[in-house]
Amino acid sequence: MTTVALRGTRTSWRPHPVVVFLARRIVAGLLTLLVASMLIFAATQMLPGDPASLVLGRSAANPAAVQELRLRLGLDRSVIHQYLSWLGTMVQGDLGNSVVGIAEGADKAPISHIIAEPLRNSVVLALIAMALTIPLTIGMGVYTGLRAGRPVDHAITTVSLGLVALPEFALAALFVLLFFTVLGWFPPVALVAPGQSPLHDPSALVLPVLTLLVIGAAVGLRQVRAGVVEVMRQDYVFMARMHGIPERRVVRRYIVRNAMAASVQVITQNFQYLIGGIIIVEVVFAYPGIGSLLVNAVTARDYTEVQSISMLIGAFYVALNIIADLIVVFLVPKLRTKEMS
Amino acid sequence: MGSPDEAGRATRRKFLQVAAGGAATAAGAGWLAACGGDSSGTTTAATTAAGGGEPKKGGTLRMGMIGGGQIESLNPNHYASSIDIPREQQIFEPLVTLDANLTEPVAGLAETFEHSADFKTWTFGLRQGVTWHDGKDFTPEDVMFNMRNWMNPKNDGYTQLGQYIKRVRKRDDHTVEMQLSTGIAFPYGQLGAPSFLIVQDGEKSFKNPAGTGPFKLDSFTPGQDSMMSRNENYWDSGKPLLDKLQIVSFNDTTAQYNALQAGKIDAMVDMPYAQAKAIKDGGGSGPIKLLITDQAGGAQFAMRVDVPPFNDLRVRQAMRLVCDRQAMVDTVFLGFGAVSNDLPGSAPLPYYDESLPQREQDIEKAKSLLKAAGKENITLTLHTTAARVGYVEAATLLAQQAKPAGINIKIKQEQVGSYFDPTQLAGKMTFSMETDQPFPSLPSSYLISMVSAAPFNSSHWKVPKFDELVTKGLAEDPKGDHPLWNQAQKMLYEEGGLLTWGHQNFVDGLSDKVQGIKPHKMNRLGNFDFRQVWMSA
Repeated sequence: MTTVALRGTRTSWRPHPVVVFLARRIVAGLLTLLVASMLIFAATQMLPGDPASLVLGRSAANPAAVQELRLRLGLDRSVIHQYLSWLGTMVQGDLGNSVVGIAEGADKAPISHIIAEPLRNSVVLALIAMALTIPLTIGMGVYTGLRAGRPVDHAITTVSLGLVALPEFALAALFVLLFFTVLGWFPPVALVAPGQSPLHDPSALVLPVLTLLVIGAAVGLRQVRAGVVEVMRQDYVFMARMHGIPERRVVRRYIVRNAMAASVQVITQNFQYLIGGIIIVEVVFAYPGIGSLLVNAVTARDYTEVQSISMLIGAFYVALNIIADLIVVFLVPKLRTKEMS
Repeated sequence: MGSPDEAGRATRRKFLQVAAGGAATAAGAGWLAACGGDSSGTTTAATTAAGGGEPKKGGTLRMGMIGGGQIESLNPNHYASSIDIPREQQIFEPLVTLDANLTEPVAGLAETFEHSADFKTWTFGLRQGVTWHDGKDFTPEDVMFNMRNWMNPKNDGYTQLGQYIKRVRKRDDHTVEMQLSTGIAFPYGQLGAPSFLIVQDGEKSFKNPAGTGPFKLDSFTPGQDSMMSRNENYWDSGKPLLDKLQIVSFNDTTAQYNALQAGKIDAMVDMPYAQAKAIKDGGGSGPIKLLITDQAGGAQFAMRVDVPPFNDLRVRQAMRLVCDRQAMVDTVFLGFGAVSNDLPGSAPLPYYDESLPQREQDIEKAKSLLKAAGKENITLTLHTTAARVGYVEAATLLAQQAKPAGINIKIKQEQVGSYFDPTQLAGKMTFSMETDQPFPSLPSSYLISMVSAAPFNSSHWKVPKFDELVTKGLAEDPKGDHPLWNQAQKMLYEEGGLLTWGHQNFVDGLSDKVQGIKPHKMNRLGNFDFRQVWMSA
């Protein structure tokens, strides 16, 4: 092979293929984030209403007061100028200041301080949801995949199709109706006071987690099932069975292992779904996480906060995709050679 | 045991209740403590004293309200979101305020308040022995600092009162004198409003402000939560009874209602009418009581009198005649309210003119007015927003009511952000909707939204004669005849640009543990006065 022939000559040294792959992915990710930053900035520019008049409230009817505040907030600068200065601070890892905080007269209102606790709350909720969703998704996906076409498979896939079609807020309302109003088992809201741990009342987290879990699993198990069904059709599975390898071993070594590659993608998608779903679930259950904060920021026209939270979410998405790609590459050797070439 | 059919119906009914109002009352529960205003217009409502026994000290009241996100603040000089009001009113207090019916003044930080014969000089005798939460004494300097704030055109207090303050001075260690450029005989509505709460001399940041009020601020996270505890040095000894007061911001009414049902909060501000009606109709003995307060602020359509087609008086009058007000109240407020008469306020507020006949629907007269104006089969665009409860419903119903008169109303839904933003749509739309509340007094409301210079004059009603009547009318003694106020109201009634069709009740929900809240027309939950509120076991 050429690589072997060239090995030893300094000039022809090449980094490890996985490093090249990773570097390429990171560059693509950064470009994606740059485009995302433009879109986010443009979107916040289009939010109706401006923070100056909102903060001034009744006094917003006084044009001089609005103008003065707009100057202080730098809203008089050109849009390009505003974008570049925001991007500049973001690149330095600084999330910037809340424009509403500044408008209300504070010298500094670091967004990193404002989001710290909501971010922690959201991470707690998301991790609990994921810890339950992943095994459930894979377990049920494999279970139904192996029983494809049988009544139990039909039952589960039909129910999951119905759940996929339900929006989060509707499912959440149904759960509240069932588990709070009718049965009285779990509280319908997950209030957390500032400074309080989100785990202070675990029962309050049950319904938000259940909502995320059910929708996440419903989407995921259908994909895992499809992966299993496809692997089961492969020649090597057929051959393994022909060789008289015990069925349990065929399932474990041949089917599940090969279906795992698809599962990694499913888990990634699950995480991505979670980011969107959590915003709605947090609002429905009055849970003070990053989603509630984002909705608040939009309501308050706190565009710097909206931008920073959106960029954080964007960065999380990109990072997640890179990690997932890497895991898949390591998991499936065939993919590795294909990706590298 | 009921038959299967009965059981099925019960289940369906329960489901419909739930569907009608989020997770509305379980098990048909809910208890209407009392309701409605009597015919004289005085405030009656939940007798929350029902049961509960003797008032006792201690406990925490957790109140939920729709919040304003990061915009929430504790600065009374700038109204930002409505949840700021309950917070500010615990920390700070007014000099003088109004009683529950908004007819008589009640002493606050000023124990006495006297005026000259022409109502131009007001002398406030300050309450002695009052201290700020940080231990400093309450002084005339504090009061003068506030009066100068009101005189600043950038602050909310300017329009209602500050613009008329000529001079403030300290007469002695406990007396402040305020001289006005025009006599104001009934300034209590202004002085009792949130923009006139007394803050400490020099207070600017409002991050952790010291007040004189019944509760001290412990923590505040805008958009989420605030915690306060009892001011042990409060001047009215023995009050407040509660140890702590928590005010929680909600984004969503259903979540707020669910929290009340689950006992996560004890009081909710503004229960949606669907849920309130379910509780009222349930009539059971559930854990949620209603506090229903008849209030004076109007729900109205604003027609700009300076642009076509409403610059023609006949078109405005035709619009006012197509409206079936009772149907609006029944449909939009689900009966939680009363009809209005195209005028700000209601009886028995000082200066309100009850002698003008209640305007009724008269399609034929409306048609003939439109015909005379040459505006038959006119098409109008009514701007509304889904962000306010009942707005779209009211707009749709008005469109239906106007059809028989040959008026075609197209409804345009606007974004909430621009709808209420004066730099965007607010005040610029030809035909729009608004809710004029809280409504403390006629002078206060007219100066904010009716005179030419008013910042919220949405109908662009700018008539010098009217301005003169109001400005001079400010000096009329409300206890005597007030011909100038009557003339001003007659003008609005006959020529104005507001179709004020109803005033809705404040409908709040309370856990049955909450005792001692008395309805107050100024604002929700008894004007958020929690000094005498206590929690039963």
